[in-house]
Amino acid sequence: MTNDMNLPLKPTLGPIRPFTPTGRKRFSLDNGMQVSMFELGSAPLVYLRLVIQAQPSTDARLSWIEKYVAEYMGEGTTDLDADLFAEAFAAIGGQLHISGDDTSTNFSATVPSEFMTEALNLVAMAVLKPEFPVSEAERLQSNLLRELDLSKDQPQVNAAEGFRKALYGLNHPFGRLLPSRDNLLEFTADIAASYSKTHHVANSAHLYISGQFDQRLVEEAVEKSFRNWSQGDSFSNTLPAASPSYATFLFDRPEAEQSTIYWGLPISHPGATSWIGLEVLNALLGGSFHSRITLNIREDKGYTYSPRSMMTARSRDGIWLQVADVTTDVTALALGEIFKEIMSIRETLVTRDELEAIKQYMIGSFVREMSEPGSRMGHFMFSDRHNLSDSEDSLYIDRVQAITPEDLRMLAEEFIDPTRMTLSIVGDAGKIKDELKELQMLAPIEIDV
Amino acid sequence: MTSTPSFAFDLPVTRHTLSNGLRVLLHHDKSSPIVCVSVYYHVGMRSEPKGRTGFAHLFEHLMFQGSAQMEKMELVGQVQSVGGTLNGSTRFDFTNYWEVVPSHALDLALWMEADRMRGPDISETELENQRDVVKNEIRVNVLNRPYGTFPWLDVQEQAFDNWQNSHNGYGDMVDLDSATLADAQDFFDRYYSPKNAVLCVAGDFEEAAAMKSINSFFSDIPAMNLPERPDIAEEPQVAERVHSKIDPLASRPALALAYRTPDRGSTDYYALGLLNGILTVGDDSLLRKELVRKKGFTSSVSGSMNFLGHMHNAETPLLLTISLIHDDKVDPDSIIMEIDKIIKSISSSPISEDLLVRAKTKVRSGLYGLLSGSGYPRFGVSDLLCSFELLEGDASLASSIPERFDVIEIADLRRVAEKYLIPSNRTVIKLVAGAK
Repeated sequence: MTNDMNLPLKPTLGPIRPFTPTGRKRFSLDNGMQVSMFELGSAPLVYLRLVIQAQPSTDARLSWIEKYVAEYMGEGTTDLDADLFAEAFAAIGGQLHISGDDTSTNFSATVPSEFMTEALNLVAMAVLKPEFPVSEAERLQSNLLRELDLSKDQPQVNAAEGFRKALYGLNHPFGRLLPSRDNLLEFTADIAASYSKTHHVANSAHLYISGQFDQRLVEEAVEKSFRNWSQGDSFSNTLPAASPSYATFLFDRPEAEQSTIYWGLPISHPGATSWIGLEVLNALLGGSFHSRITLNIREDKGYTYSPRSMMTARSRDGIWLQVADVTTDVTALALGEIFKEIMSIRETLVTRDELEAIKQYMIGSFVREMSEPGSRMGHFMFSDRHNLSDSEDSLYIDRVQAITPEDLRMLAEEFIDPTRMTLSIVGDAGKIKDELKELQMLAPIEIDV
Repeated sequence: MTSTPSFAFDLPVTRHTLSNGLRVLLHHDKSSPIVCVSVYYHVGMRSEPKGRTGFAHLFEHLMFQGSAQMEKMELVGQVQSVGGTLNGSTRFDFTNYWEVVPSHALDLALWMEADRMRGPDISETELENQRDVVKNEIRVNVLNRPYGTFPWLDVQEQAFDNWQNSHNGYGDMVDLDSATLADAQDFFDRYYSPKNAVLCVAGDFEEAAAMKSINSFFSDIPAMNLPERPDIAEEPQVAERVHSKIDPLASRPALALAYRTPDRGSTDYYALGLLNGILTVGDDSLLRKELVRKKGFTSSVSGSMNFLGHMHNAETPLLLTISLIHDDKVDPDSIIMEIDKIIKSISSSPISEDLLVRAKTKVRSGLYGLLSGSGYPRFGVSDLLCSFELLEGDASLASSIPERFDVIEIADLRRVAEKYLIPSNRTVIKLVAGAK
């Protein structure tokens, strides 16, 4: 199909421009609220993110309480009801997104730079003066019930639920991805208000500001908006880390055209000496388009469209995980190929060329992450959540460069051990159960647990 | 009286045309040492022929399977090994390919795009492989997913009569199975020529050096005649259409109202864009206030003028689609009644000046969101520039988007609501939850 035309030889590249990530300015208010800011980006916008950390409750009855509270915080303040608040934010070209997960409540907004002060005022109003009107309790509960039903319909959510349950157990807040309907029905305005009063305190909060702004004006505006926020009890995370569970869970989804695979195990944690090496290993194994597992089960076999491996990190642990939605009739074959790739990287040294290519990919990804206000803010949030020093950033490129083929093999051997992995799979049990049973590397199958 | 804030929206661009017709766009952003190279071909889902649904998308996959100088997936490996990232996508009117790389690798990205513009080099093996990959893409995004076709495929299928607009651009499995290498050759010859493409370089680079490389890599690719554009005109809609369907994987019912849009570029088009903002965008939107907060019918209301992008990167006809997932206990007709009441409040009496200013402010602020490129720095701006070059003939017109909204007056909104947001111009999809 090619035309016979003269394309010059492939260009040789000049030297990569050195990249040194610039840091952030940090300060804190007297009440303990942390503030980080850095100027970045070519658009006249200011990006605001307020993160309030909380110790997740081990009480199963409070599963999703953070979501409920976050929804409720959007129901107006003692100064402005929900409609007026929304109109005030829209008038400055933004809106306040509030979300809650099992470790934090997050407020985020992006507005034109000229409205920075107004936006900070409104964020502070939402956090410091939420109203929790009783009239809205039932409707917000219905929203959560709807979200619960919609989540349960998704095979990926079902697979993730089984996976989490295996790694953390049901007595751990991270082990319960979805709450029970009955528990959601117990949530009230009082419970939400009390949660907010206890957990939304200045000394658990960190405000991140990026985009284009005047630093002095921001400092003044932050001080003015948030200085009256009271402090509360600080907390230290005492939750146990994930533990490996050699298990296979099969969830039946009759007539499913694909099987949804979640296969992985706990590894080390951010900040550990092994973490950056594991990131390189992950990118090479399944975490990038040109990774081994993707080249195999997608580009060679055509079993799947979007396979990927990933590393996730919660409070004090990290997890490595391969996910894929594969055509039902090749489910066992796909698992066999993933297993082969894991074993290969444990047993055989990668070539210098392959390693060099993936290192460059990691370094380039780091440069991109640091090049956009939103993603660099996300980077700092990750560092803060895991108590990583900013000085790590200036060492990152050198640390990636230092990884050797032997390092990767040893990391794979130590951390990616298939005999300790949990497989959570959602698919047509009638069609895939028997062939899964024949896979020697899998733990005995438990169905619909 | 309040006024629209003045924050600027300016996307400076230098335009060149090579002797073979390839249009080149250059946009500087020196804030980080990275550059985005993108190539837009003026062929999309609407161009594919009957019996070959999904072919434009399948062909996009084939463009990653090797060319004269590069083995299968070598392009991907090369981009990653210089620290870059890449993707491609198939839209209604165009297909795009892009790489975001550190600036020192600009020439490599250009060279690779020039190589594949000369043509993919593929065999039956690669075709078979990518057919399987695409079929799995459809399974994961449509067939094994609740609301998989709702509302994007459902509305276009029901609201349009012209097959070019109404067919499933993701592809029927039977059509995908029928695709051949000869089809691929024909498709490439017809559509993938420099004259039918736009190349954009956005980011941190030196203009003279970039143009020298572009000339060196691209200028000897032969100019071909421009392909005939597909006829995407629709006969006017005269009556409301109502369609019910059962989604066996969904546990809650859903509802979509799709209104045909006026022509791209017209005053009415931008007025409708503002109406979409007033009705569905943000916490202050009228439908959210009414259907979510006041009535509790749903958790959220969505509004879209282009499910494969936004109102600025597609040709018309398009559909302004309002959609939501609701509960069994609520009759969809009662939700439609409430929506009609809200629309009536706009079309029967003038909205407040405050509401208009707020809508314009949201639009202007939202334009910056389009530039963020979601994980691909500099891609968002490239997308706007290439879209305006392809669809309106001049990339620099992208900077005029705010003015196109600014001229809209309260009377325009009332007139456009009265003309377009009416039952006889809409298609209603009622999705019945079929999950046990």
